[in-house]
Order: sequence, then C-alpha cells, then structure tokens
Amino acid sequence: MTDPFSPGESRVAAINCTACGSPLPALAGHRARAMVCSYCGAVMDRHAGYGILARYRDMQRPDGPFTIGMGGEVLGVEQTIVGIVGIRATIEGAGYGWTNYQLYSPTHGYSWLTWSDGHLTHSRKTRDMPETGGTFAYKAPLNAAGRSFLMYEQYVARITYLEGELTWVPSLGDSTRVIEAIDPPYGYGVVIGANETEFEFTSYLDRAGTLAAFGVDDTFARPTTVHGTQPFLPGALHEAVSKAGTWFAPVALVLGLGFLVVGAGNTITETLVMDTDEGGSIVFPLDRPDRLAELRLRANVRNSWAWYDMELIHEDSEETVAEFDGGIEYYEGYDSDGSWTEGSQTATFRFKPPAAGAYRLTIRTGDPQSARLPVQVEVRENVMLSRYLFGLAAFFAACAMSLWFRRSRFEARRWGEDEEEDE
Amino acid sequence: MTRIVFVVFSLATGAATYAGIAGIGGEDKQIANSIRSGSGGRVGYIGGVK
Repeated sequence: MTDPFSPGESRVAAINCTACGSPLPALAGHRARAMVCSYCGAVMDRHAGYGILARYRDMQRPDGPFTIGMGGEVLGVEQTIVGIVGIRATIEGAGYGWTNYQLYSPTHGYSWLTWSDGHLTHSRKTRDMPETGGTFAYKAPLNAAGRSFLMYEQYVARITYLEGELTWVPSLGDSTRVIEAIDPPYGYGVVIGANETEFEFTSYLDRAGTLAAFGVDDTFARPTTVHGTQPFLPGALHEAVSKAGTWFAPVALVLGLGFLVVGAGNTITETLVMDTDEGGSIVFPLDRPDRLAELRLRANVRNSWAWYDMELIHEDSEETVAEFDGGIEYYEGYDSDGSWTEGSQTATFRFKPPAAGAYRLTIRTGDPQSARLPVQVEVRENVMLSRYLFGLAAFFAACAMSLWFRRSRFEARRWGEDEEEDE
Repeated sequence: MTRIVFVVFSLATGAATYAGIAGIGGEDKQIANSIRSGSGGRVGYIGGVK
C-alpha cells in the first residue's frame, strides 16, 4: 500500500482496507489523517502507510440522508462527503444523537454537514475567537465572528460511529465539551477538547434545497423540534397578513370610533307621552329609506317594567307598516357583593322606513301589569353601525398579533421553554 | 403578496364602512319583517321580559 498523496504520486479514487481488503473510496485531500473502513471498522493512519490504529466492529451507522462519495453544493461551494461521525450527547437529562458528515472541497478544505432530527446545518472551523471566555451562561451574550450570539446550550459530545476519511485520528467514545451559541440562522460553537479548543461557525441550511443539491429524495421524517439556529420563516402570506393587519387595525378602529360619534344620527323629533294608558302619537318625516332610523324610548322605571304597544303608520297611504311592542325594565339593589343593577331605562328599535315621507307612531301601555310612567320618545335618522368596523379592527389586530404569537411560540420551542410551561 | 393582502383588507374595510353607513343588518327583525310584509299585525316581543 502506498500513500496516494505522497509527492509525485497521482491521486487515486480508491484504496483497499489494510485490515479486510475491502475497496474504500479515497476522496479527501492530504490533510485527512484517518481512514475508517466502512466494512470492518479499522482505523488507518493515512499519513503512515494506512497502518491500523484501532478497529471498531459492528458499529451501527446513524440515521441520515447521505453516504460517502455523494457530492453537492453547500452554501455555493461544491462539496464531497468523505466521512461520517455519529455523535451522542446528554443535554439537560435528555439523550440526543446526530450525524456529522465530513465534507471536503478542493478549494475550501474541510467542513461539516450535520443532520439532526431532520435539520441540516453546515459548520466550519473559524479563527474568530469569542470575546468572552469558555464559561457557559444560559442566554448570555457571546460576541464572535462579527456577530452577537446568545449562549444556547452546553453538552459533552461523544463519538458513537466512525466511517471514511477524517481530518484527525478519532477513537470511538472520544468526547469533547461543547458550548453552543446562536444568532439564527447562524451558530457559534466552542469545542473544548483534551488538548485544544476549537471554534466553529454554523449556518442553518435549507433542507429541501440541500438534499436536492446532493440528489437525495426528501423522504425523511420532518423535524420534531426547532433547531437552535433555525430561522423563523413564517411564509410570505402570513407576513403580508400581519403587516396589513398592523396598518388596517388602527384605521378600522378610528373609523369605528368615528361611526360611534357621528353614527348616532340626527334627532328628527322628541316628545314626552305623559299618559300612556290614553296613548299618544308622534308624526315625523323620514327622508332616507336607505338608512337606518331609530326609535328610542326612555322611562324612569325602577325595580319595575313598562310595556308598550306601538304602531307605525305611513301618513300618505294611511297604511300600517309595522305593529310591534317592546318593554323597558330596570332593577337595582344591594347584596353581599355590593350594589347591582339589571336592565336599562331605555329601549331602542331600529328599522328602515319602506319609503320616504311622513310617518305616525302611536304608543300606549301594552300590558295591565305594566308600570304607568311618562315615556320619552325620540326618533333619529341616519343611524350608522360601528359594529362591523370594530369587528374588523379586532380581526385585523388578531392578524397583526398572530405573527408575534407564532414567533413567540417558535422561540419558546427553540429555547425549550414551552416544555417548561407545559410542565 | 403584501399588495394583494392590502387590496383585500382595503375592500373589507370599504365593505364594513358601507355596511355601517347603510345600516345593513341593523334592523330589529320583527319590525323589519313587518315593514317588508307591508302589513301590520303583532310581531312579537322586542327586548325585555314580560
């Protein structure tokens, strides 16, 4: 066996495992230190004649969409998958696992593609060191690489699977302490090993686009979690609805308040019927059959009720256009909770006159048990309704708030704070 | 998309304004039915408890 990357040697596409003889693709550059056989788990030193350093049999390849040798574009750079590393970690008492794919680009060197619960991220080493030290504090700021990150989580990552060409000589079970900080869609990692500390810059990737770039059909399960670096992408429609709601809610509210002020209409006539047993009548003009008119009764009932029979007659035709009745009731008192009232001393009846012209309203007491009190009768025209605009204002406000609410839920899931609420 | 939603919301605001001015749906049903039928007759209780 010869080192295919020795000076003067031409690069070969495959080598045979020095332990089991299986053919293995040789895709990485010279800096890759180890080759782990996909078949027998032998760890070979690429810089020392592929001598066997260790052998890990029966390793279970972790879930993931990629295999060694696949190529595709990641963040605008053509990359080839040359190695696979399975990772397990326990974070706040819960076990997690993910798959790191070692990427190699002849122009950009080595980096990582990570598959975690259906999320895809890209990580590369960076020389941009953080301004603060290696102490973790939840949501504490961490400034690095020109960005302001928030510390997200810390854990000890342990290697559970090895395959292919890797930039260092790994051992199964090796562990490193990791501090992760986020500024979605980016992340920053402080990887503290036994002998050195490295820094990584992570970018959240569009899963569909990345899988398509590698020619992989997306038949994998959807993510069940929000990834730390996952950006909140509500969609164009929701963003548009929320933005429009922000503008239109105050417009509808102001219009509704305007209607409340001017929509009471104008008084056509107002009179007091003293003897409701004898009854009274009022004649008034209504010029707008396309608008609401309002009949408003007011009587000084107190802990009693008054009931009235009414008849609306079109003066020109002498036709009775409506006969109706209605009551006013009002009660008040005191109990252990304090004073209380029920009902109202006014009653309103709204209608649209069938035609313009003069109308006569007759009114009299409609029930022998009714209180007999003078009743004030007021007729108003051009009455407007503010209910639709207030309803619309509430709807628009809900549209505007929905994005905020959705974002809050998303952030709570990102930080795991929704689980705490559920508990 | 934003433009389309703004147009839809504008139409909704316009419709609500028109409905408010025209008083659509604001009539007390019993009176309205009586007026539309063009005749009198007792049309039931409107409000209150008898």
